[in-house]
Amino acid sequence: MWFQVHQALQQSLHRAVFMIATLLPGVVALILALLVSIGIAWLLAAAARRILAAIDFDVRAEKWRYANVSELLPASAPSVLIARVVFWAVVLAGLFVGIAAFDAASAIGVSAYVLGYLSKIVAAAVLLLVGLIVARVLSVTVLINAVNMNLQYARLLSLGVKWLVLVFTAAMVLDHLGIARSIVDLGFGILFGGIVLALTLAIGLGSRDLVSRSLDREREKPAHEDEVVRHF
Amino acid sequence: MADVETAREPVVPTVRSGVDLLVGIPVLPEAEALSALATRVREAAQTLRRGYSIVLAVPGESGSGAPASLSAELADWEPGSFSVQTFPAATSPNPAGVSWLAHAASVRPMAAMAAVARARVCVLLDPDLALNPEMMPAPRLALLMEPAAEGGFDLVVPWYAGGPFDDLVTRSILYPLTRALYGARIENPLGTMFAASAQMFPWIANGLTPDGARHADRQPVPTVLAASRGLKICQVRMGARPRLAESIDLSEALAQLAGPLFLEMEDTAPAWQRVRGSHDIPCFGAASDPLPATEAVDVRHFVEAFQLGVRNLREIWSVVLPPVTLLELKKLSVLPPADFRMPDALWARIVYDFALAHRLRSIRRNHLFGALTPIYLGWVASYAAQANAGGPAAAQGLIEQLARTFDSEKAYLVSRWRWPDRFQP
Repeated sequence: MWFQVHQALQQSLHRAVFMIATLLPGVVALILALLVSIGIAWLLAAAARRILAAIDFDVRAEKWRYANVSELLPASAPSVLIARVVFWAVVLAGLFVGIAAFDAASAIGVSAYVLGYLSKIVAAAVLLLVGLIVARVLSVTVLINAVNMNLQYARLLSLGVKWLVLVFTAAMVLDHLGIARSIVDLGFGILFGGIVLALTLAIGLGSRDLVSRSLDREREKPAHEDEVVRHF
Repeated sequence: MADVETAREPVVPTVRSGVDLLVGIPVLPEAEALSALATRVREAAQTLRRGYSIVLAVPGESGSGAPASLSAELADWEPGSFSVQTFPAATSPNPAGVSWLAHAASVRPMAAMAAVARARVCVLLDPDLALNPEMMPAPRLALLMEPAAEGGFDLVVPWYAGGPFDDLVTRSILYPLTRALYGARIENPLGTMFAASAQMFPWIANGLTPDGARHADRQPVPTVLAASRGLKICQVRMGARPRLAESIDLSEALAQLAGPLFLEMEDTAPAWQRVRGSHDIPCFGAASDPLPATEAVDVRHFVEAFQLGVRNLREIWSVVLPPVTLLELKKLSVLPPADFRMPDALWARIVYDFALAHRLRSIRRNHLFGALTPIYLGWVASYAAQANAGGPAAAQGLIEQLARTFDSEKAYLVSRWRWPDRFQP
C-alpha cells in the first residue's frame, strides 16, 4: 500500500513539475513582454506629452472644451489624458503579445478568446463615446429650448432626456459585450420605463404646481403682447 | 438653428447689356400689380435728371403670364426705354424665416444680373412694400433710385419709421453693433431692399470679402460690404414697413438676423479693428416724428423669462461670458420687475462676448442664439420699462445712448478678439 501511495505522490509531483516546466517559459515570456511594453509605453507617452506641449494642445483643446465632450475630459490637462491613453494602449498591446507567447508555450488557447473579445470592447467604447456625446447635445438642446418656451421644469426635462439616453447607451454597451444579457434586457426595460414614469409623475403630480404656474403665466400673457412689442 | 445661408452659385440669365437701371423684384406678382409697378418705376425714373433705360427683372418665364402681358403693354411705351427680363426664381433656404428676410436668396442673383447687364444701378425691391402703391408711390421709388443713379452713392438703404417697441433686435443688436464696428450709423443694416452702384455688384454677387476670400454660400450684407470698404452709403426715409404675422421663434430669428452680421465680423476683422468712433451718414426724405407706442408694455413676462434663463442656463453662459458678467446677471435676476434695469455697458459686452463665441465656436452656433435669447429678453424688459415712462422721443434717446455705449465698449471687443485666451472664462 505504501508503495502505491509513494507512486501516486511521485506521479503527482511529476505532473506538477512538468506543468510548471511547460508554463514557465510562457510566464517568463509574458513578464518579459509586459516589462518591455511598459518601457516602450513610458517612452512613447513622454514623447506624446512633449509633442502636445509643443503645439499648445491644452490651449487649443480648451477652445472646444464645450464641444460636447467636456464630460469625458479629466480634471487634469487633455494632453495628460492622451499621454495616458498612449501608455495604456502600448501596455495592453504588450500584454496581448505576452499572452500570445504564453499560449504558444502552453497551448492553452487564451489569446484567441481575449483577442476576439477585444473587438467587442473597442466597439463598446465607441458606442459609449457616441452615447455620451448624444446625451450631452440633447440635454443642452432640450434645456435651452425649454427655457425659451418658458417652461419652469426645463432642467428636469433636460436631466430626464440625458439619463434616458445614458441608460439606453449603457444597455447597448452591456448587451454588445454580452454581459448578463437577460438581466440587462430586463433591467433596461425596468429602468427606462421607470425614468419615463418618474418624469411623467414628476411633471404630472410632483411638479403639478410648477406646470400649472407655467401654463397660468402663458395664459396671463396678454394676447396682444406680440402686437405691442415687435422684435423683428 | 443654423447659420443663415442663401443661394449657391447665382444662375445668371442672358440679359441685354448697356442698361442704366436694373430694378428687380424677387416674387412674380399678378399681371395687374406688375403693370402698376412698371408704371411707377417709369414715373420714378422720369423724375431723375436724365433719361434712363430700365430693365424690370422678375422671376418666371418670359413668354407667359404677367411678364408676357407686361411685354405686350411695353410696346406702347417709348422703344428701348423700358423692358422686362425674367430670371429663375431663387428658393429661400428659410421659407419659415423672418418675413422681411425671406427674399434674401434673390439678392445675389440680382446683383449678378446687374453685373452682366453692365447696369449703372441695381435696385432690389421688397415685394411686400413695393407692390403696395400707397406704401411705395413713385416719388418714394425715385428717392431710392436717385442717390445711387445721380448722387454718387454706392449704396442706398431704407430707413423705416417705427414705434418705440418695433424692430427691437435691430435696435438692440444690429444697429449699435454695425455702428460701432464700421463707424457708419445705419439704422437698418440688414435688409433685402436697397439700391447699389455698379461698384457693389461683383462683391454682392460673388460674396467677396475684403481679403479676397469668397463666401458665395452666405447671405450678403450689402451695408457691411460697403461700410468695410469705405464706400459712400446713404439712407432714405421709407415710412413704415408692412407688418406680417411672424411664426418664427425668437431664437431662430436672432440666428437669422445676428448670424450674418457675426459672420461678416470674422471676414472684416482687420477693417473694423481700425475704425474709431462713428459718424452720421447722409439721409434723404422727409423726417417724421417717431411713431407713438400703441400702449405700455408689461415687462413682467420679459423679466420672468430672463430670471428663468439665469436659473437654468448659467452653466452654458459660463462658456461664453466672463465671471464678472455672470455675477452682474445674477444680481439683475433678483431685482423686482419695477426696478429691473440692465446697464447698457453690460448688454454691449454681452453682445460682443456672444459675437466672439460665434467666431470661436465656443458652443454650437444653434445653442448660442438660444442661450442669448433670455438675456435679450432681459434687455427688452429694461428698455421697455424706461420707454414706457419716457415716450417715443425718450425711446429714441435710449437707443442712441446704447449705441454710444457700444462705441465706447468697442475696445473691450477688440481686446477680446485679439487675445481671446486672456479672458477665457
